[in-house]
Amino acid sequence: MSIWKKSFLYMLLSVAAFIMFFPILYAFLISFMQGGEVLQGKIIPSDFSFTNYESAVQKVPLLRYLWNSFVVSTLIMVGQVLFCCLAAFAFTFIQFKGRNVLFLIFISTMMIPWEATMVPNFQTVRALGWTDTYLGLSVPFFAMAFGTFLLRQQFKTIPMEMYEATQVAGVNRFQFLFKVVLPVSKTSLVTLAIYCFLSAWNMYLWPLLVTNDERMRTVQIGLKQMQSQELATEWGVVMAGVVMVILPTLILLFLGQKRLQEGLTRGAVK
Amino acid sequence: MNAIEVQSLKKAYNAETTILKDMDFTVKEGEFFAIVGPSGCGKSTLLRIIAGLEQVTDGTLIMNGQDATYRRPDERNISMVFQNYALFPHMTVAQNITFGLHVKKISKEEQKKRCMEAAELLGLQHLLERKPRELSGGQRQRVALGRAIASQAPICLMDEPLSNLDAKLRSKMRSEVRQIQRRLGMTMIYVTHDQIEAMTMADRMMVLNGGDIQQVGEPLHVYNHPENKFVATFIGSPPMNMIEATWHQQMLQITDEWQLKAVRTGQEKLYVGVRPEHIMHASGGKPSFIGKVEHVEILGTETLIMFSINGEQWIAKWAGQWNFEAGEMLPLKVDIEHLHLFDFETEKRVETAEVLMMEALV
Amino acid sequence: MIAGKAQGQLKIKARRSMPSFVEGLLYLLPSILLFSVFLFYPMLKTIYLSFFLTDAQGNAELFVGLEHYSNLLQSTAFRTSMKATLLFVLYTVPAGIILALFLALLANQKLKGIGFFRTIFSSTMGMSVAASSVIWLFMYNPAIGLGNMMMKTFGMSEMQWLLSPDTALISVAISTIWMNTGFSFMILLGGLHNIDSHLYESGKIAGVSDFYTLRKITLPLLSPTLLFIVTVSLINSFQTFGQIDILTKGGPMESTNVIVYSIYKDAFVNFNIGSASAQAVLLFAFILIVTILQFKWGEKRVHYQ
Repeated sequence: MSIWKKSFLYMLLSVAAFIMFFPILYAFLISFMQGGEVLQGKIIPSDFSFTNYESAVQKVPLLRYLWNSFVVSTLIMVGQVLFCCLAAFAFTFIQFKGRNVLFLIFISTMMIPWEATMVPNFQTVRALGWTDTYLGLSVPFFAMAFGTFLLRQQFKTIPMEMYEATQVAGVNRFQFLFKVVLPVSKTSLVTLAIYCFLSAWNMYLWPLLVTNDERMRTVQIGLKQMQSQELATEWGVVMAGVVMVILPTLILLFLGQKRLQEGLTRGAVK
Repeated sequence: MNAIEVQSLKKAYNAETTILKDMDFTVKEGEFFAIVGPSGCGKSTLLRIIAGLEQVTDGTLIMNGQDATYRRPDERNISMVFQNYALFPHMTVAQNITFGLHVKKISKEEQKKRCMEAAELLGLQHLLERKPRELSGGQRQRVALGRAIASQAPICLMDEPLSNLDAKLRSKMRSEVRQIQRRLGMTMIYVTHDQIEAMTMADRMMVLNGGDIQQVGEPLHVYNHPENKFVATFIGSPPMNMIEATWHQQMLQITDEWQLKAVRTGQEKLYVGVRPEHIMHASGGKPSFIGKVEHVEILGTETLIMFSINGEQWIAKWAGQWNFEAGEMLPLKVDIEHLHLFDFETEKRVETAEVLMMEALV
Repeated sequence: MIAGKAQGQLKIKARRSMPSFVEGLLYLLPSILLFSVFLFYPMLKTIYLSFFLTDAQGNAELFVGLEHYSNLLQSTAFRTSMKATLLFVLYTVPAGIILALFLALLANQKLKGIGFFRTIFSSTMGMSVAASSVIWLFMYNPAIGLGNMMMKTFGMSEMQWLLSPDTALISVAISTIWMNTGFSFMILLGGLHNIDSHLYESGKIAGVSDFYTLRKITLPLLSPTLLFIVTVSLINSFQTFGQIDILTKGGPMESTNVIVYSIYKDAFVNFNIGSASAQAVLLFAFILIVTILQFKWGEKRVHYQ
């Protein structure tokens, strides 16, 4: 590659990176500004003090929201990965009549927009007495066609001979799943787990419907509340809230970026 | 005593596709039994039925004197080595070798002892803590063998275990596998498409084609007395040369100049086969026929001469180094006792003495 | 003797593990159960409710047949909502994918420090809709936001962004494109990685231009990934909710009242659950048709390696 082409590429990359990352950076900068600075339209805060963060935590129970989101996301992640593992395992290593039909039904659930089911789901959760509970926030999402599909693609790369070798050795199917299939598929499992956690963390409409209790709100709803309530003029505080909300997922994303990219593509294409 | 008895075993996936037709054979204890045939002949299916990985459609399978037709694989007291080795990538060599022993309630110390013994036998001692991906092809092969050895199952099943190795390593492993089998006294059932493996390793071999047993016997017997045309051409490399011959009065006429005196005549034609090493130069004597050289491959210790006879391409294999030009006419000779005759309809072997007068060439 | 043998077989058969059908279903049971309760049943219930007038709790009270549907198709509000949805899809999907593809091609170069750029480009995947929307809400603020600050810098007149019916939908679309780029970028970059580098090398040996390589090698081989991301983007775009709720609440003058927001408002604000259900059914039908068309159309144009 010539030096010209290289510098041109670097320039293009830098400009694109700046534009793409700017809103995040901007939020970060605003989160350190006092009211007056924001209104003057400044870009760089005069000093980096954490007063906005302190008031964000004091004015709304942001830590409580963060904790709720963490619990719900973890529950959904564990549930989804577990259910997807079991289903994908059956679709790969157990031969039975009607398996292909069942698999098609599983896949076709991806076509049903979740919003089309939200009214009856809301009624169901209310009837179960699950409003304002972690169960109501998480259980409806445990089954997931995309994850099942993704893991099935991975499991299919495990040679059938490995399963047969365990049969000859007398290791049963359930042990085969835990001793061989899951360890071998570690990368895909981590990918799926990260993806599930991110999606769950970022859920918006469902928590909005099933939480009324202040103490059960997730962080996304808290953010909306924070922005729409009395804090509307105190942009610095709102942005401090935003930064606290996005930090966990951004860190998770930066750590798992490479894995996520490889794992998701494998499921998407092959 | 018989380690395995297979009685009128059938396997069919549906009415149209029969994989194995009515098989009967036995494998003796401590025997190296090779099952050989072209791809799609059903040899792997047969092995997987013996392993219990697939169910029979009909028939009985007796192992160590007990009916094992419907037993689970782990109840059959077997070990199995797969073509791609089936090593677990997340386990070390040692863990791979001892895989499954815990199910059989074998103590940790005993597991370790067996692992060490197997590793020593295979020269894997220094690799026990490695993962499969850090091993070469030959080493992986050995680990797979190690698992079979450590299980101490009396019967070991192997499905083309050497086919993923390069030629040099393969011949080394051939003798290694053979030695280990002898030393441990295992009963070995060895599936391969490579007739050289079957010839060099087996005590007895079984040739399969199209789901049917073609011949069972000691390798040399099979080589020297092939039961039918398929076995004759499948076993041996280069393969046996084959040509059609017709009856002409009291003669069996192979080519215009190559005619043999017959003791009986028939309506049908016959197939005549000659192994490449039995075609000789007719130096001085009367040639059986003249071949027109098409191509010569000089391999160092031996020479392959491709020539045409009545439009068929034949191959002769001579010791030493010979060079001929393409188009050269070669006088060639075949002794009558080296001819193999096969019925034209059934393709079954016909004893030469029943058809030809043995003493004279015409 | 024969009887004994038969008995032995029976015993062995009985002792064998459970039939694989039962075992398979056992593994699938958790998923099937949840799909039934939270997907199939509610979908059917939605269809059922769409034929009824309901009370505020969502209990069916009066069968009205297709009335909700005919009302919807005649109402200007619903037509505005459909128009907003379609325009929104049109604004976000092609532009979003082209942007993501551009970034992915850029980040697929073998350069020092490329990992840093990849991380930056995929960063919006870690941004929640709520957080992103709050940031964009601020940027669109006519008085103090960055949008008008830039307009001023470039000497253009200030805009009302989210507050004007003319620009609100486009403004929401721009922020949505930004939010979705991370995910699309990541999938497309993965797709580019999967293309065998020998294919590029043979292009290099043939001495073809970069653009030719892109057109004749990269894009055709990337087509399965592209098909996937187009499908996912389309479906996501039809289901947009969070950014609307935070940025515009469907306004101004219903100009951003996309279908999911309309369903939400009918069901949980106006308590007109029958009508909301009818809209949900139409949304489902719409997505189904688009997906099927897309696969029919796409399969022919996609090259699998």
